[in-house]
Amino acid sequence: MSRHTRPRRDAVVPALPRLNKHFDVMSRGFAREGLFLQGVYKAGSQPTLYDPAWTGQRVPEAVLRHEEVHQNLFLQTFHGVLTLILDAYGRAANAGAALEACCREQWVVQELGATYAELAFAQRVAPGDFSAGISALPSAAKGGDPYREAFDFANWLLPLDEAARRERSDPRTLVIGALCSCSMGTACLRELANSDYDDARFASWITSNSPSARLEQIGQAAGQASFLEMREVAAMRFSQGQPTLRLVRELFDELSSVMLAHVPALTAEPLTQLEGQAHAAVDRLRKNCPEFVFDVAESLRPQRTLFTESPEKRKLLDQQFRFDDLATGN
Amino acid sequence: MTWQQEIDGWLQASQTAGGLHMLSGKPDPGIAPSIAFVCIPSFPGNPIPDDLRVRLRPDQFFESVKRFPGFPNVMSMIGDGWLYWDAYLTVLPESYWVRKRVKKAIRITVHMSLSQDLLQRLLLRENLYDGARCILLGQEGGGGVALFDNPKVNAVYALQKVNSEPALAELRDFLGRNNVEQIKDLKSVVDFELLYWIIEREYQAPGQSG
Repeated sequence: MSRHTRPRRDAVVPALPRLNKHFDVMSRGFAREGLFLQGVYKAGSQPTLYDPAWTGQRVPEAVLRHEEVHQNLFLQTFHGVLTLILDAYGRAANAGAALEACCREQWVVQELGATYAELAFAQRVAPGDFSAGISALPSAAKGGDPYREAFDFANWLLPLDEAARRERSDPRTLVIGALCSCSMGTACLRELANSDYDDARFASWITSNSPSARLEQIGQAAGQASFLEMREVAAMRFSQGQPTLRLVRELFDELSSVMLAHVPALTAEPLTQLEGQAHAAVDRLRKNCPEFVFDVAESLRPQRTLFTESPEKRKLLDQQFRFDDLATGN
Repeated sequence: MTWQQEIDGWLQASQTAGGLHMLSGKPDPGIAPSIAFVCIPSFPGNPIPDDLRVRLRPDQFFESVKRFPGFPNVMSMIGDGWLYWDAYLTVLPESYWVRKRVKKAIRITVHMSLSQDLLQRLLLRENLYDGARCILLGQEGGGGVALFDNPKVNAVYALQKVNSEPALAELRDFLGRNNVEQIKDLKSVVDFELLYWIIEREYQAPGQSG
């Protein structure tokens, strides 16, 4: 068979980008990168937007959406809450390997969901800048981090086309949010609650139940047609305006069932059990390490945005305006 | 020339030309705070010295300005700077000249970062909170500086840098929820001209917006 007569499978069904083994997810964190850092979200912290006059960001609200999606994926998903718990546990006990695996295996899911939400917002408020915004995304192809490749996968499932811009209540971002939530809906908190903590063993469990791998499996198996149908469901559900958190959770659980019907080998934990499983996991860890403290209710409360100066600007100003010690001994 | 002589020379020049605005903040642990000495021009015709930027401990700073009555005329602290400087001041005797100088100075807190929590903290300083008023001095292209005062609190002000439209929306939300009155008459802000000069010079906020 000629190689021209049958298209390669990956030409039809895209794959998610893989992080190379040198990618230092712990120092990278969940920042919106570009020519300058646009914003950042650190586990358990505030979504942060850097001074757009400095970063050159023309639609700062879009970056805000990006960081808010990170916060939602940390506070409203099983794998996200696991990250918060391990981050805190790591201050009292050894959790380095599991925390690293935890961050690595969700990085693409996080950036896919956040970048899609950002660009869907930008498309609505600044359609003229939309294409340039996509082109400006850092990409593995250009030697950067694979934001562009992650976005391309989501955009293949639910294209941000002209029709998307005219839809009310942005149902496509909700469906991609549901995909991320479903991918992060592993049994990690149950696993944590049901066994003695062993860092290496749990890191291995996380890698075997990777949210990134789940997202790719679901996306490839469900395909575009199914995602367009799910968009209809989301559009009908929220045609009347801003959805509440409870309704979003209900929708995500409903769409999760639709998605998982395409991948019978996968399951997702129901979001209604999130807080309960978090408490059980924390209680178990406290038995292993009584010094460990984690307030589930407080930790899962969303925080409002911090607007601040870009660290790159701060560094430049510090270099430009130095303070002499004048041999004062200080 | 010793560092004391260098600073003294600068302060003499500043005294001839006008007053002293000192800007500082909270230092990193183990390091003396960065202090910017800025001359406030008040006597035309006299040369205005360039800003002096040094690291000094609070006691070294006050020792330097001791022989210049009224100095510093204005003290601005970025971020949590007052927490650090207050820790030095509060252990001094009530009647000590340093405390009197500080009390006579115009005292400003400046926040370059904005959030609901930070806004609360900004106004809690010296009880600006209860009866605070605000005016936004806008910049072209969005953002600006919000100036807070309180008619019941003498010579104490707060400045909030606002660097984007979403940040401005967050500020407006805070002002609305906390019933912070908008300053309509600029003349009612006792030190407005000086404050405007400081804002324009240090934080670049021309023009005024609602």
